[in-house]
Amino acid sequence: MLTINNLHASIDGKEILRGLNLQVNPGEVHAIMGPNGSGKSTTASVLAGKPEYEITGGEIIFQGENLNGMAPENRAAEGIFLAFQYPVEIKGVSNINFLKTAVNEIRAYHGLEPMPAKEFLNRIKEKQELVQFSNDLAKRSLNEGFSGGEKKRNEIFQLAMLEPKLAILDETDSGLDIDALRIVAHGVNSLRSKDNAFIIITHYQRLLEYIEPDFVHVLYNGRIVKSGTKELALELEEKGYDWLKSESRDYITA
Amino acid sequence: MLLEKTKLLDQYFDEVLKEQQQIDLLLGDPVHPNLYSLRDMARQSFRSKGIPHSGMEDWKYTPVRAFVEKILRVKDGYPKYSSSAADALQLEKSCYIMVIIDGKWWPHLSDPILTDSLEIASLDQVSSETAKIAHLGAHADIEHPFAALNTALFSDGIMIRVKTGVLLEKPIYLVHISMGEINPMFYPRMLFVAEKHTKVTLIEKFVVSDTSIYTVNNSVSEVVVENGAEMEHYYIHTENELSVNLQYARVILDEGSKYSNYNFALPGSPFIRHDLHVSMRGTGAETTLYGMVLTSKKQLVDNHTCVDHSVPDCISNEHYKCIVKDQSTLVFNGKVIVHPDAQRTNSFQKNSNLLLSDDAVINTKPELEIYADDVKCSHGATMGQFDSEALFYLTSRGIRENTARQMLMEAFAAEIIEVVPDEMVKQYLKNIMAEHL
Ligand SMILES: Nc1ncnc2c1ncn2[C@@H]1O[C@H](COP(=O)(O)OP(=O)(O)OP(=O)(O)O)[C@@H](O)[C@H]1O
Ligand SMILES: [Mg+2]
Repeated sequence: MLTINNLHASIDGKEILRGLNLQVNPGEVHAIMGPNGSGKSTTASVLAGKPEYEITGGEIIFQGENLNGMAPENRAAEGIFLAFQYPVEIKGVSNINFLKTAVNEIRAYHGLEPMPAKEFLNRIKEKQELVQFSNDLAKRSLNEGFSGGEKKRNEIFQLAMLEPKLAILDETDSGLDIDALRIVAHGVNSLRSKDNAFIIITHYQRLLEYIEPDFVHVLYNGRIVKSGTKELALELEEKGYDWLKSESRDYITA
Repeated sequence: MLLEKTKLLDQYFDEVLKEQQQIDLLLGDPVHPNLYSLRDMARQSFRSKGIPHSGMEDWKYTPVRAFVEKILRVKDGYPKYSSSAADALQLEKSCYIMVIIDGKWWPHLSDPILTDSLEIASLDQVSSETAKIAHLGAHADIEHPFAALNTALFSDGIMIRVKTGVLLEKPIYLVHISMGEINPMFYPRMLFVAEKHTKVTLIEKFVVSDTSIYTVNNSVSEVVVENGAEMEHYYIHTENELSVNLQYARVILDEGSKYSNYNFALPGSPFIRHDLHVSMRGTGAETTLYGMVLTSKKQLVDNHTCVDHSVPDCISNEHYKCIVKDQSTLVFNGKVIVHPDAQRTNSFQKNSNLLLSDDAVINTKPELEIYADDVKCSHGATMGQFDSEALFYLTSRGIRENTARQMLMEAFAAEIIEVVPDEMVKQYLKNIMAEHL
């Protein structure tokens, strides 16, 4: 589904990703961990097509298509979804209206008519229940004045509404209380299928107890320095990153 | 060459002023007993200043002369506007409609008016001379060149008077149609009096007809809101590129009165200059001034507002939001004066701008003059472009960039549109804004 080959990306002339490789197949869940500033959110933004980033080398192939130069809206329509680490507040745009526009623009991209109002409302209701997202929140301006946890839940609500093929969750767990964490995990698990895939960026093993990953990767200094199965997450929780940092330094100098 | 043209315009006004003076001499004074001397002063004031130029502080960014000058070319076959612009009457339901063509009120095209609650008449036919004599020419400042020009030249004019204690349910809807039938430049004169403890909504909409030629509308309104009265006053500009608007309004607020002004300018007219001067004359008065301006192409829209607090315990609240596109120019000048006696004044002013093109220009200037010590005042101007994080957020959900931009513009405008109290007007504004964003 997704193949990232030797990806180099920079922002404002500063190289952040330095030779990233990753292969994600349908049905898989990948976790990406790594120290602060290692390039996890950058990877997520580059995948979603944030215009500020420049790809200076390598390629991203999504469902057989090179994403380089593709606009974010088209990537979304092709099935990429990013749950933001820091969701933006947009005053004056209602949550529901925003979702309706998104759903229908994606449908238009695929040559489909707008979704009938009734179907849309049913879907809203169903997905709201799935992630226990309150009606009050859904009616308000997009994320405006939402608490940190409410914003994260809204990201998962949107994810559920848009049903992407590849969902990237950037630290969706941070800021969530224990109940919310379970709700979000439940939401994600019930959306999992053999046709879609998840990339879950997190600092904590806890989320991975609820959403079991097939692979765990460690990102450091703009590249993946170690990959393993879910046991790697446990090992990281115990030992931290220092042992990997020295290992990767050896690797770089070698 | 340039000099010659300049002279032509000055000559033109010189002749027009003289002509009016002769007419006044001949006809006497049907409109107002002191009109002759008032006009005399106005003429002198205008002659001493002439059409404003960029050397004058209040006109620094507003090259009005070029737009007025065009009236001289109208007679040499300036192109007529041909497409249909007859959206004038979309608000007609449940309003008292008044049709005003080139500044002249057409009673037979207008709704009959309930006379025991309301008087609407041309100035020479007003029944209550008292109100007229007290207010006509008493509030417009003839130091303002275009207030002076209007005062020297207006012919019939309209007075609307809501009689003491009357709470009017239906809004009064004035449709100003600029046609240029007799003259490309005309001088509408309005006097609105909301007597004690009344409540009234006035909607003024500016449009053109499909036979309009290039016109310059130089209007003056004097607005008086008496003790305990409330007025909601809308300006909606939807003219086209043939219609220039020079508008001056002075509002007088008596004790405990409330005045809210909602000023909407949409793309169309090449040049709009609004002077809105609100004077708090009675304690406990409140005013709210909201503006939503959307400029495009080569438009220039200039709003000069002034709120002056001369008595204690008044509140003023102002918020103008502007979306500025293409090669257009936006000027905003918001003056607040708090005189020494105006203790416990609350005055807030905000001007927020969305600048959407490298070729567009915004000149914004808040001016606060505070001479009292026990006051709460604040002002601020912001200038922004599209928030790139917000754009990315929207597009990352599959929303096309154009749609996303439109959503962000609507969101920006929503803050003003949402405060519009009249549901019918709000809905109408939402629709026309959506057309232009
Ligand atoms: N505009 C920019 N100019 C220069 N450096 C930048 C810019 N934006 C991000 N960076 C840098 O890129 C690096 C990677 O940032 P990124 O947000 O991808 O880290 P992260 O792995 O997501 O960290 P965290 O765990 O804290 O979320 C950081 O060192 C950051 O300071
Ligand atoms: Mg991050």
